[in-house]
Amino acid sequence: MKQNNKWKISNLIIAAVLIPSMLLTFSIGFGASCRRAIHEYFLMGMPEDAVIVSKSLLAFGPLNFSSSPLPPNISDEIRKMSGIKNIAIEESLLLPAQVNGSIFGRAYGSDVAVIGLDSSSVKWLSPELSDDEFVDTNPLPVVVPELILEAYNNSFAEPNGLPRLSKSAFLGRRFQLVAGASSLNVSENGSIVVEAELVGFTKRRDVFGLIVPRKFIQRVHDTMKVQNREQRIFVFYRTPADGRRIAESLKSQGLSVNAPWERLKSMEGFDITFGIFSSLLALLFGILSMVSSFFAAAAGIFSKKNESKLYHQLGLSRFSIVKLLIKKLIFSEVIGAVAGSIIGILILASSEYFPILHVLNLIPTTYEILFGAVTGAIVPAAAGICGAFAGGISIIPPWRSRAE
Amino acid sequence: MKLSSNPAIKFEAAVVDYSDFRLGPISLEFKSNLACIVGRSGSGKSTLLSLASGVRPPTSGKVFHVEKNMSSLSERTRSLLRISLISFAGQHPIFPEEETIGNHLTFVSKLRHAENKEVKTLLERFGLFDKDNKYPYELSGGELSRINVLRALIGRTQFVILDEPTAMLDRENADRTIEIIIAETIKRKLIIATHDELLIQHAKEFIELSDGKVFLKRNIDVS
Repeated sequence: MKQNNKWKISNLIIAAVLIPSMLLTFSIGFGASCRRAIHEYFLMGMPEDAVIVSKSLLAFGPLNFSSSPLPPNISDEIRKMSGIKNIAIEESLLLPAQVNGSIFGRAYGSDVAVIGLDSSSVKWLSPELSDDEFVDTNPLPVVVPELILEAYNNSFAEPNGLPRLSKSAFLGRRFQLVAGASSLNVSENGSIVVEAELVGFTKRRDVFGLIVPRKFIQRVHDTMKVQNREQRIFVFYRTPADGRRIAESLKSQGLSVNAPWERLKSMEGFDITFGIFSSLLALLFGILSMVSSFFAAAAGIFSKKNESKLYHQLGLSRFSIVKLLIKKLIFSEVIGAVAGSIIGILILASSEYFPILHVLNLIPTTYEILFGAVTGAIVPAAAGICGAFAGGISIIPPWRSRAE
Repeated sequence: MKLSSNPAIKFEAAVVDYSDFRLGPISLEFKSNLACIVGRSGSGKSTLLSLASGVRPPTSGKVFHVEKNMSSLSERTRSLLRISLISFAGQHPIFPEEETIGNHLTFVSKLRHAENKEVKTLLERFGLFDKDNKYPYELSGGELSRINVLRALIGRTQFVILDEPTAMLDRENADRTIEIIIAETIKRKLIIATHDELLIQHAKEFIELSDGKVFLKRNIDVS
């Protein structure tokens, strides 16, 4: 009876390698982003240049609206005006903390800090604008960021001390409120204190913005109303210790600073636990992928016992037979591993479309995705090759065997 | 590797021991261009052919291929010798499942340093020219059996060893296969285990096995 078993073995191997590769890629990429997010936003254990601690944003600061036409492309405009090439307009990240309405985040990759709020914030801040105006009015009043240029010219004396802006948590909200840094000062400990004021808003997506989850907006508003502050201060610092010193300094000046240090400290245990958990998860999937790939390849080779007999009849040596069979299986292994990694990458990349992950900064970076993908492809493939050798050794009888 | 000008396969008290069967001791030499081995099922024909083809070694005694004792050679040398010297078609055709017949035969032709057009010629001679794009599971047992013989004829190996090449064939295809086999005897030596009377009629050497021993050996002089 004829049966279509053309890809039977290959399918088995591909499936056995694909799924673990996908899980491994995903767990590594997502685990890494989880750890990074925790480090950056709960522990402030930041490896990069600076973190924006705008936890005082809601406690201080005026929001002074000015008017001017909306630039067609604000990022280009900023570049053009300032002559600064290194502006990571789409690469900012400001994460709202969910406690006490404080907002803080990390930033790197840019020479200029520009902070934005989403449309809900804008609406609250500018109640005279109707919903229609938010959606349809264009251009809306906005200040061309001379302030930014000025701040840059005046304050960015130390190239290495510049604040850096990081990956955007920007989700293409309808409107982004843009704040320009009105002054930047390098403190004695090397940190940068930025005083910023709101300069306008835009609905352009390429302006990096501050994402404030809508469910927290009311809390933010309430906090601001209660505190009735007119000054906002953004603090860039390099280490948590610097941040603490700055916070203490601000407190000593009579400013109200919501310093979440104690809370952050309590998060350390969580971070370690979560870090271990995410590592164990990746390890588990790693082992799963290795075991699965190993046995799939070994079984694949073993199922070719008859074929090995054929090659033996044709005169090939044992080594050549194993090599030949493995060559054939590697194709399936590679397809499985690569396809699995690609699916893993797609899953990781799709996290871009889950707003809550943006808010929590759990979007894997390109590096994390690539690391997960490479690991997710190499580990199962390597295990598969070992499995193929093991399977090969078991099916090729020595020439002197009687059982041949 | 220097080979004899008059290639032969020679058995010297060769014995193969299985737990429930013993072949030999056998001492004989295949000299003619067509040797037929006959005998009842289980008499040891396939075992004798596996010895002659170098697929397996004797438990004791020696088997010489063009004056070389394969058991004394390294695996690599033995492999090279077998590839260049012997082609073997077992009783049950084996083919790689995921390769087309054409691809597989191309692989074999490369292995034996033959030209690919030879494969095409053989496929035509066997009436299988339209099968090269087929996968083994798409072919009937008889077709696979013929391709099994065809595969053994690829290249210029000095010995072609066939185990019951016509057993699974209808008379018409068996006759065509025998015709091709006989034509090959002009160029090289064939050792064939068979029950086919027509094939036996063309044999120059006739060896009958019974219970693992040579029951009758006869050279047929056709001069």
